Amino acid sequence: MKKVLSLVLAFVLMFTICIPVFAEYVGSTPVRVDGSTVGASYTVTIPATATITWGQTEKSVEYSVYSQLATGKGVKVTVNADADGKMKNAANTAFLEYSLKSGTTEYTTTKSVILSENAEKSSVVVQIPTANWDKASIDNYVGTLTFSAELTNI
Amino acid sequence: MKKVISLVMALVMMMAIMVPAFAAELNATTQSGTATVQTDTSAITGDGTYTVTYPATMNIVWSTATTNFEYKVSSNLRTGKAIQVVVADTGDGLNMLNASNATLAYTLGGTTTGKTTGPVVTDATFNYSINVDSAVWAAAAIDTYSDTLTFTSTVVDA
Amino acid sequence: MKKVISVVLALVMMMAVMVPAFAATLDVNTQSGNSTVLVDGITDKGDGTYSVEIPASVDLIWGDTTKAGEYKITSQVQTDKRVKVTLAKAKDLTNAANETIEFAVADATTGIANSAVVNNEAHTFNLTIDASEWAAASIATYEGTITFTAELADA
Repeated sequence: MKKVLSLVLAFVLMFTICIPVFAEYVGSTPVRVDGSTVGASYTVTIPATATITWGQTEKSVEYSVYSQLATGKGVKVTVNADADGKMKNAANTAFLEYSLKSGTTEYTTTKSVILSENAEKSSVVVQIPTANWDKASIDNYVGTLTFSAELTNI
Repeated sequence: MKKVISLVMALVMMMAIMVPAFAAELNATTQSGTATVQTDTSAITGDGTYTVTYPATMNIVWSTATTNFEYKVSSNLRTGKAIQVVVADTGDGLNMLNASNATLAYTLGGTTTGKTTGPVVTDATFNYSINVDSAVWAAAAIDTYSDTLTFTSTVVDA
Repeated sequence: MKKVISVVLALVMMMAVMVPAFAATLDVNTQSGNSTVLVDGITDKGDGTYSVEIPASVDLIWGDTTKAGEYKITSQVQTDKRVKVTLAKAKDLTNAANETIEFAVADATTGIANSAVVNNEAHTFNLTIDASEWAAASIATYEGTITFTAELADA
């Protein structure tokens, strides 16, 4: 009994979805979107400040990138230290030399589209050898890291 | 058989992001920006650290008119500070005495008050001397004579 | 002409070894410390040095019953030492025929420096000859000898 009911139901369902035999072909219409005028966007989030404890030889400064770019494009971020490689005290009378670790000063994203909740992260590492700490008078020193972003082919 | 309907409310909690509260952003319009790197000296108390190294004993060979000595300073102080070292008599006069209090008079020469040139120095060397006149040597019975000098260090403005 | 007896004692000196002096340190917690100025004279100079200047001769006039003489002590020795000079007659006045006139050394037969460091400190002595000796002596030239011996003695 149950089986017969199932078959009947199946047939009924088939009829409800069949195209009426009496329909006729008209033609095909392309569906397209023109993204050429859509502006690419990306956001690189950098920390305003990174604090290094006296004596710390390496400090990792993290930043993140999300983007919506043209196919084949990515974001390249470059980080530069102060031109003279020195952090300075407020009076500009004392200096603390530092550098950025090789290999950490550039990052290129891996995809054209990166959602903000899955932003790609990278770090630039500030290096201050112990010898440089030992040469510096105890003071509050400040330096500036400059982050630059540009589009690049990936 | 009971059907258990479980409703699981997925709470999408924003994870506490380890990003400083005041972040800056670069974008297509603003392609360059700066971040400040700063040092934190809150764990450092006082004016910093230093060491003064001086001789525990200064041996003067009989009949020597001038004997030279040195003391050294190494320091890592706050900007604008320096170390001053003073070599002085303890108040009983510049006389070496033997066991029966016979005297062998002497004078100090050279840098008996030394001051480093800045807050950070390594083995800054200061020279001083102990001088005994030949007439004093000639009049002294052969014996062992000694006196005490005091070395005092102070953190001062550079 | 004066004779000078200089006795330089053999000094057993420790070789001056370049032993690095122990260093003391000051820092933030220890801002003051002492250092000792030291002269180790006994190691450097041992017993020290001294000399005694004695008369080249003591000339008597026939019949002198006393004749004074002088010697001088110069010294720089250890604090608790003094130069002690002892006089003795080695030979009575004797002539070519071996005849003698007796004399004695007195006042004093020993002399001790006043302190460890003296410079030409004068000490006197006397030769005494009894008048009877002169009366019994044939007229001739006589010569005798006195000896001076120096040593370090405790003060």
